[in-house]
Amino acid sequence: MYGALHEWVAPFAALLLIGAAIKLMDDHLDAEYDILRGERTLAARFGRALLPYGLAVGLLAAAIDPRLACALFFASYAVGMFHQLRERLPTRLPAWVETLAAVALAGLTAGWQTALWAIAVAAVIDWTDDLSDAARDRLTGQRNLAIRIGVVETTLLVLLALCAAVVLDAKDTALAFVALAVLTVLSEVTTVRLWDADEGGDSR
Amino acid sequence: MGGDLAVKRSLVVGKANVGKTLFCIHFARYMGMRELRLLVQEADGRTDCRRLSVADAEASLSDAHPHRTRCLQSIALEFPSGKTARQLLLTDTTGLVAGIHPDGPLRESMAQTLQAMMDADLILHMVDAGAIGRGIAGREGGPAGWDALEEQIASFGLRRGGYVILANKMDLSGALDGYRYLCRRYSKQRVLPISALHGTGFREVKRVVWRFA
Repeated sequence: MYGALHEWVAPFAALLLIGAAIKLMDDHLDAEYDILRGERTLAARFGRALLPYGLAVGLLAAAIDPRLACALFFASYAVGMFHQLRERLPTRLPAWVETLAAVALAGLTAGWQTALWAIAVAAVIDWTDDLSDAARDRLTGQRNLAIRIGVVETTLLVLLALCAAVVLDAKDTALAFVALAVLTVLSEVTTVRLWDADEGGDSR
Repeated sequence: MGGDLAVKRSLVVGKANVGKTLFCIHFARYMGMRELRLLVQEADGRTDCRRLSVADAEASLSDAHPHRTRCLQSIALEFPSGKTARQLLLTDTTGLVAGIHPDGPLRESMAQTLQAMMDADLILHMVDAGAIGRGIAGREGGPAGWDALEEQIASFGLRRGGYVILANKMDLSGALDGYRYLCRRYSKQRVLPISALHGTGFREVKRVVWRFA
């Protein structure tokens, strides 16, 4: 029983919690726009309190499985900046430097194999999102990999990253996608719709 | 993989007197600006920078006579983006007319508008929905307010992407009919009903413009 706990439950809990911390952080950065399109996410409702709550959730994940938590956090940080590599960030550093630093930190804290796995998983999630939003983003001008390099090319990249993730760690890849599904449901449940918004179409 | 770091430009175009300048001023106010810093680009290439309060801008830049604006007037708007903020220029333009206008300098200003349309990241095509709606009554074919010039601007915008129709003057009679006409005609395109005068519909415009920043 304890073997199963160690092998499945602990990594799943770590993935779920670090995923929640990443999602909260991401929603916090997008809070203003989300409200504009009629969605008040949990991060927007937390407001200033998001920082302590987010840190607590992230630290809990790190306490359960520091290797997975650190790898996924830094990998998400790096992949999240792929669209704007030349942009200068508040640290005064260009995004590509922070991206490299995040990749290096993932490798140093979790080992290179886990870091590569985490980057592959984060890329699959990010690029799949780009693929599903391609039609809408084409209309709204949003940065999107599928629009920039093409749908077929992005699909091939997603498959390549997925293969890499499965080869590097099949069990954790499966757990990561189950955790993603749970977080997606939780996000839907906790998001308050302020009004009907159809971003893709005309706004009649 | 790097994104384009040049400041992007959204261009407000349309016929004369459809409310382009008033929209730019009121939209800047809606975005929280109390003082407008206008980057003025004359048709002959001269540039200038003017600081005006919203009230002064309204009084001095916009009136009921056509062709009050004869240059490009840009306001830099700021939108949060991830850990940083991005700027987008909201540019007011000289109103366009069909045919060849007898006023030479005005023609140059219109040419400047057309040139700017080639380079803009987002074209906000402003139309007078009230005039279109009132023109529908008793006419077969297209309404009077939607003429060949509007058609040409629309087909240019549709071909290049980054194009939104702003159905202005929704506070006037007949505007709802005009808006419905535009929605039917451009069913796959964004048509946003607004009133530049009263500031209605600005939330939707902000949402669209934000994504292009």
